[in-house]
Parts: sequence; structure tokens; C-alpha cells
Amino acid sequence: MTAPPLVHVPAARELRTELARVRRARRAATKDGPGSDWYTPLLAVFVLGGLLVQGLRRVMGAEAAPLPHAPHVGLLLGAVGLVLAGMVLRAALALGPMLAGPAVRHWVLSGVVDRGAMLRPRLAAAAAVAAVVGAGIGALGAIVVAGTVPPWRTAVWWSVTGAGVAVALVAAAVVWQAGSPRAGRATGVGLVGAGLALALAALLVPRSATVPSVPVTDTAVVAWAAALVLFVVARRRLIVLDRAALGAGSGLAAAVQAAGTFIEPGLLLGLLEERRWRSARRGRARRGLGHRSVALLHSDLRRALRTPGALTLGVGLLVVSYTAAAILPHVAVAPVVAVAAYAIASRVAAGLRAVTRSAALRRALGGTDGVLTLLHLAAPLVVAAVWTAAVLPALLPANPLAVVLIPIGAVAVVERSATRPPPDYGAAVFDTGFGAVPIDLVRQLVRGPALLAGLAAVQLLLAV
Amino acid sequence: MLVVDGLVRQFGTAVVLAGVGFSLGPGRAAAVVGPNGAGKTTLLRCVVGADRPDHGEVLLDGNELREDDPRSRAAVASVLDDVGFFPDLSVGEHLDLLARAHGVEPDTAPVLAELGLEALADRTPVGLSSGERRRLALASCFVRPRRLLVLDEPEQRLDAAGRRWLVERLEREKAAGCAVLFASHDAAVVEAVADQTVELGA
Repeated sequence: MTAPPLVHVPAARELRTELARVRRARRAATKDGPGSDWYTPLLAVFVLGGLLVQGLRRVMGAEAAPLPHAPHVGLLLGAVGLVLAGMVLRAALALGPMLAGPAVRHWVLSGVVDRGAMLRPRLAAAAAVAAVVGAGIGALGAIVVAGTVPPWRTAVWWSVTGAGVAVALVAAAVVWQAGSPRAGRATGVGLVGAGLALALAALLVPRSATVPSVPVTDTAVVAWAAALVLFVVARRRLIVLDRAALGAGSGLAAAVQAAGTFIEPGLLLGLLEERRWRSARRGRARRGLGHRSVALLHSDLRRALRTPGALTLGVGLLVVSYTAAAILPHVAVAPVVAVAAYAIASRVAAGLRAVTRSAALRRALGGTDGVLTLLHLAAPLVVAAVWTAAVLPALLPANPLAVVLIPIGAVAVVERSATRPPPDYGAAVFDTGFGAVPIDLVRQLVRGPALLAGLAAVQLLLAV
Repeated sequence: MLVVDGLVRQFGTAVVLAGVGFSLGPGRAAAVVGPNGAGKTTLLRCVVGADRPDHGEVLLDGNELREDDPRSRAAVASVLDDVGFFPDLSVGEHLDLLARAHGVEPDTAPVLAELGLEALADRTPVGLSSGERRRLALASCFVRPRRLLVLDEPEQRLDAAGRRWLVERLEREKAAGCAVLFASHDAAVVEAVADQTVELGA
């Protein structure tokens, strides 16, 4: 056995400096890059900073006027917090959260340089972003609890709590990434499940009951204590992040970037759908049924029933709908149910998306595009109708027309979204004076969401 | 030097590697062969730590090969299917950076000359053809210390002269005591370089 040779480890700071120097020199040579449009981020900072200052001034100048609240509102807020935390954890673990692109992995991190030191600035940046976003969500929570503009001290405490929780979540995700991402993902699912259970419990609590409340100052202290401990552990664990861990989320990150750059959410949604199906168990090969239309209907219904996570999503959306019925004014329930029906119909519409996006598949299946589209709308319609029937008690007393419109409208939105043509970047642009707005591009992008908004508006009108 | 024992990798219920095992000594070359989808790339990814096997182990010099250990990274040079490039760094700067990341004084000129990249040293990767980018990726293995070379279909996108160079270069690597593990569909390259084969999907 040969003993491994001792290696000279270059300092991470030196390597980072060298990379930055070379890239600066290259940009200067080409007279291109971020330096040429420095005023754009400056303008964004100016505008957003102004909005933030105005908001803070309003909060600090306002009188405390909390509205009387039933105990279930606090429980529901906790439920929303748990669901949000679970989703953030899942998303962070899907992306990394420590992430290195293929170039950095091959040309920098494959070296003997201290990997932990190379990744520390990224961890600090991730924690800082999480703190800012968490503070914003915390402030939003304060506004919801107060029912109006909250006293500024309360808003600050809620923001501090939100920031602490967000930093703790990101740091915990890094610790799991370096150890067992599977356990982290399971915890994320557990948090979402706990949130839904808490929402159900909130529905059962009598409105006159007294539920002990936790002071926000205590919550903030606990959140930041957890955040600091987890951050220190995560910082130490950076050194064990290997190429597999650092590259696991790079496909998803590239899809997020491409979807943002080309204003094409389909690029991201397609990848997410592919990942869902990859995680599914292998389907049992069964014989088809009938010919042509019957065979296509049968296979699409089978695909809908096999869709990974569809049942969980359906149950979760039922809880959301019944919760909305318990706490929202009656007129607001049907629009919420309509959006939820769209979500479940969209989840089981993989077959429709496959035939509308692939001309080769349509050619292979034969028949007209219209007939193929109609046949692949049947399974989402059946699923949406069954789900709507399950949510019917939450809608009572209901307008029959509104109820019938829910599954039909949901499937119509799915069809509009699935048949959206690829973005036309050369389409008409309207110069507003504050910048050019690509009107046609916007019209194409809102093709499905606009109909969903219309459906919600119709539901609102029918409920009044 | 390299021992792969009982490697299992499955995606969902699909078993891609089912207990693969072999060993490779210094100065020897092993070719991983098999049809498409047999798991050649997956095997190489598991060996270099770009993917984690579900079971089994990869040992280098009797110790677990852990990609997070700088000593393993110093020993293993690899070019798989996931090589990316910095769009704003030139060919020469890529190689210079990699040499520095390995703590060695950059001496990229001989490697650039050997791979026919001399005239392209100041170009950025976006200005290269796919074959030239492949040569740049392969060059990354030769500007740094190495004891084990892991290559996934290194002959891909190389012309006839490039393939002759590849065979000659891998022979020189073996002569210098470096172990070579590569996947290939090119029977001539396998015949010329490999001392042993690891057959998958048979």
C-alpha cells in the first residue's frame, strides 16, 4: 500500500482573489459586463430602498390598533409558518443550498484548496439573504396578526423572529446537505404535515376558547439561538461537502436561471415535473383497453392516477379549502377553492402537456391536434370534479352554477396554460417612459393565469 | 491502488450497478465497456465521488476514496460528462487556474502545444468548437499532479489524429505509473490502451 502523498494546500482567499482578478481583467479587455450597466442595480436599490423607508415610516408613525381575534387565527398563523418552513427546507435542499456550478466544480473545487474556506462566503451570503427575506415575512405576519398596521416594536420583533427562523432553516439545510439530505427532505415533509394538522386542529377549536399565546420576544430569542448554533455547525460541515452534494442542485438552479432569463416558467416547471416522475416508483406494465380514443382516455386516466404526490396535494388542498371556509368571509371561499381545483387539475395533466408540447408525439399518436387535446382533458376534468365534490360541504350554501364552474374553469385554465405557444421575444414592445414593456410577451405569459384570475372573479361575483 | 468492491447504484427501482467490483494497479489501464444505459458513466461518477453509491466501497491505497478529502482530489484527475467552463476565462486562464487550485506552479504551454490548443490560448470557450472544448477538458488532467486518471469516453469528438494522440498519451501516463480507468465505445482505443476490461450490462 502506498501512503498518500502530502499536498500543499493553496489558500482559498488567494484563489478567489486570482479568479476575481482574471475575470475583472477579461471584462476590462472586452469593455463589457456588469460595469457597463452599473446604474440599473443602483436604480433598483434606490426605488426599493425608498419603498422600504416609506413603509417603515408608516409603521413607526402608526397608532397601535389591534383587532379582536379568535384563538384559531394564532393557530392558523402557526400552521402557515410550519407549512412555509417545510417548503423552504425542501426547496433549499433541492437547490443545495450550497451549490457550485460545473465550471467551479471542475476548475476550482476539484483542486486541493480548502473547500470549507472557499464555501464560507457563499454560506454567509445565503444566511444574509435568508435573514432579509425572513424579516420581510415576519413583518407580514405582524400585520396579519394585528389586523392593521402593527405597533413598530411588534413589527420589529416579528421581523427579528422571521429572520432568525430563516437563517436557522438555511443553516439546517446545509447541515443536512453535508450529512443526510434524505433526512432533511423528510423533515420538510414532516413540517408541512404538522402545519396541516395544526390547521385542522384550529378548525376544531371553539372560537370562544382561550389558547395560550407565546410572547414574540421569547420566540425571537429561541429562533436566533437555534440559528447561531446551526450556523456554526453548518460552517464546520462545509468541509465535508463533496462534488456529489455540491452538484446535486445545479440542474435545478440552471433551470431557475434559464426560466428567469427567458421569462419562460415552462423551463422550470418541466424540469420539476420530470424530477417528480423520476422519483416515482416504476409503473406496472398493463395491457391497454379498446382502440384509439378509448385507449388514449384509458392510458391518460391511468397516468393521472399514477401521478406522484397527486393524492397528497389533493388532501392538502382540501385542508386549505376547509380552513378558508372557516376563517374567510363566505364570498372569498369559492375563489380559493377555484384556485385549488386548478392546482390539482394541473398536477394530473402531464399527458396533456406532453401532447401539446411535442409535435413528434402528436404525429406518432395520429388524429387531429384538437381531438388529442380534448381526449387528454378528460382525466384532469374527472379528477377536478371528484375533488370539487369532496370540498362541496365547505362551499355550502353554494350557487349551483358556481360549483359547476369550478372543475370546468380549472380544466380550461389547464388547457390554456398547456397550449401556450413558446414566447415570441420579437413581439411588439410598448415604451412607457420607465422602460420598454413587451406587451405581446406579457399577453402570452398571462394566457393561463389571466383566465384563472377571471374564474376567481366570476366566483366572487356569483357568491355576492 | 484502486479497489472497487460491490458497488450498487439504483435510481428508484431501476438497478444500474449491481455489485460491480474490480481492482486496478498503478501503471495499468482498465476499460469500462458495455451498451448504452449499462451504467458506465454512473460507475465512473461513483468512483470519483460525483455520485454516491447505495452500497459498496471505493478504496484508494486501502483507504476510502472520499472526494471531500484533499488527498483524494490531489490523486484523482477526471473528465466526465459534467465539465463546465467559465464563459469569461480564456483557454489558458482555465488551465492556469486549475494548476493553482492544485498548488502547483502553472506551466500550461507544453500541454497547450501537445493538444493543439496553443493558437487558441486567448480564446474563451464559447469561441471553441465542441472538439476543441473536449481537448481543453482533457488538458485539465495534464496540468496537475495525478496518480489515477478517470475518463468518460475520452475519444468523443476527437478526430482521427486526436484519437491517435489519446492512445499515445494514455500509454505515456501508464508508463509514468499513473493508473487509468476509462469508459469507451471505441474498440480500437480499448484494444490499444486497456490491460483489463470491466464489462457492464452483459
